[in-house]
Amino acid sequence: MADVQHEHQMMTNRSHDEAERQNNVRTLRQSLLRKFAAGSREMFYREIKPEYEKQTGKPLDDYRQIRTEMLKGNYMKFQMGFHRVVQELMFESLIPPVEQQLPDLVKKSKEMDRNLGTLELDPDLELPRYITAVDIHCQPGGYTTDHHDDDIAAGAIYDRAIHIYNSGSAGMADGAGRMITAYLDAVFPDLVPSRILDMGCTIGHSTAAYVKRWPEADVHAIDVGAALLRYGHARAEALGLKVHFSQQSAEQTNFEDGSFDLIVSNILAHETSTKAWPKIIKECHRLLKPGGVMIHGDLPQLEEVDPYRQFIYTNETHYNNEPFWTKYRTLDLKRIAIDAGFLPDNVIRDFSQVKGGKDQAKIDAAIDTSRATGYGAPAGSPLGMAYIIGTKE
Amino acid sequence: MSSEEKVTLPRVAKGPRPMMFEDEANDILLSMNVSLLNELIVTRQRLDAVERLLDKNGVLKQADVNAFSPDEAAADQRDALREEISNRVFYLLLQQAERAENAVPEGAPGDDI
Repeated sequence: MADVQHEHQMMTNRSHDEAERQNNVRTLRQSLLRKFAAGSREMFYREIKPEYEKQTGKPLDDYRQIRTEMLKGNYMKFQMGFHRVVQELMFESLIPPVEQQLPDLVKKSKEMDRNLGTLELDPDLELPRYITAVDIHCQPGGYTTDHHDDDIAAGAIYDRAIHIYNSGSAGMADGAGRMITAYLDAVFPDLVPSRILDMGCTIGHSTAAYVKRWPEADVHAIDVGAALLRYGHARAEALGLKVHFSQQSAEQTNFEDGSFDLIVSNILAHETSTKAWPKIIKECHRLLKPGGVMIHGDLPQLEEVDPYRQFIYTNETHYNNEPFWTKYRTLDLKRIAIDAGFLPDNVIRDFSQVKGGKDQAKIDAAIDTSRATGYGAPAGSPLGMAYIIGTKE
Repeated sequence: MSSEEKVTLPRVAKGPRPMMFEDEANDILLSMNVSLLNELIVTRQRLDAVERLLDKNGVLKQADVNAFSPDEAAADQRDALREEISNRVFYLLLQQAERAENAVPEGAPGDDI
C-alpha cells in the first residue's frame, strides 16, 4: 500500500524530481538500510560473537567492545557510512524546495490564522546549549535558527522529514501521540484531562493526537525553536486543530502551579542534558494538578535491552549528531522522578510492547493502528516506546 | 531581514562529520555513489512519468519503447553515448591511465597490446 503523507495547506510543494528525490531517500532508509541492519545482526550472532568468544574465552557482551569488533570488518563501516549519507541526502532533498518557496510559505503562514489556537514567542528566551551545540539529527541550521522575524524554514523542513524518517507516517504524522493516548486509555481509563501540556512539541505533529482524543481540553504545546512554532501554529490552523503554542523551555515555564492534568513529551528526553532532565521533571511536578499525570516517551534505556541493541542504539550518537543520546540511556529515570517530588508508588516505568501489561489487548490494538499510520516499534527494539510515568499525589 | 527577501538556508549540519573508514576517500566515494544512485533513480522515475503521460495522451505506447530496436545509425550513436557516459564516470582513473601511457617510452614491453 502506498504510504502517502497527508498534504495540508502549509506543506511545501514539490516538483516531480524534488518529490522523487525525497521518496527515494525514504526508500533507501526504510528498505535498504533495514536489510543492511538485518545483515549485520546476523553477522554478529553467527560469526563475530562466536569467533570472539572462542578466541578470547570471554563473553562479548559490552556494547563498546561489540562496536570495536563490528568495525573491524568493512560491512558495518559501509552500513554506518551509508546511514550517515542517507541522513545528509534527506536534508539535501528537503531544503531546496523550502528555500525556493520560503517567501510564499511565510506569507501563507501569516494568513493561515483561523483563530483556533494561539502563538506566543519569546525573543529573549535563552536557548539551551544542548539544543544549539550541534545541529541535532544533522538538520542543517538545527531547530532554532531564525533567518528573520517570520521564519518558518526549520518547521517546513521538519514536516516533510517526519515522513522520510519514520516508517508509515501517513495522515497527520501523529502516531507517537496516538500511542500515548492509547496507552493512557488502557492504563489510566479515568483520566479526562481538561488542560494538557506537550513539551518539546517541534511542529506539534504529536500534539494533534491529544487534541483529537480530548477535543474539549485546552491543549498547550511548548518548544524553544521559534521557526518550528510559527510553522506548527500555521500547520495546526490549516488542519483545524486548536493548540496554544508558546516558546518556552520545559526546564522553566511561565505556567502557574497546578496548571495541567496531563503533561506529555515524545522523544524529547534524549535531546536534553544530565542537568536539564531532572529540572524538567521537577517542572512537571510543579505544573501538575493533584491526580495529574506526566508521561514521557523515548526509546528504552541501555540496561533494558540486550548488548547488541545497546551497540545499535549508541551508534546514533556517532552518526546522527545526538550528543546526549547515550548518556541519557544510563540515567535512573525513576530515581529522578522521585527526587523531583513524585511518590515512589506513583512512578511507573512501562513499555508500549511488553506482553502481559495491564490491558495489553487495547495497547496492542493501538500500537497496530499507530504502526499502520505512524510510529511503530523503534527499529531494533522489542519493547516499543519506553515511558516514564508519574502521577501527582 | 524582511520575510520577502530570499534566504539562503544552510546546507551543512553543525557538528563533527564522522568518517567510518581509516581512509576518508572511502567515505567520500560512498557518499558519491549513494548520491549518484539517488539521481539515477530520480531520472529513471522521470522517464517513467514521461512514458506514462505519453501513453495516456495517445502519443506513444509504452510497449513501443520496450519493443524499440535501433537502426544501424542509431545503434552507432547509442554505442558512442554509452562509452561517453562511462568515460565521464571513470574520468579520474582514465586520466591516470593516460598519464601513465604517455610516460611509457615507445617500444617498451607490452606496448603492442
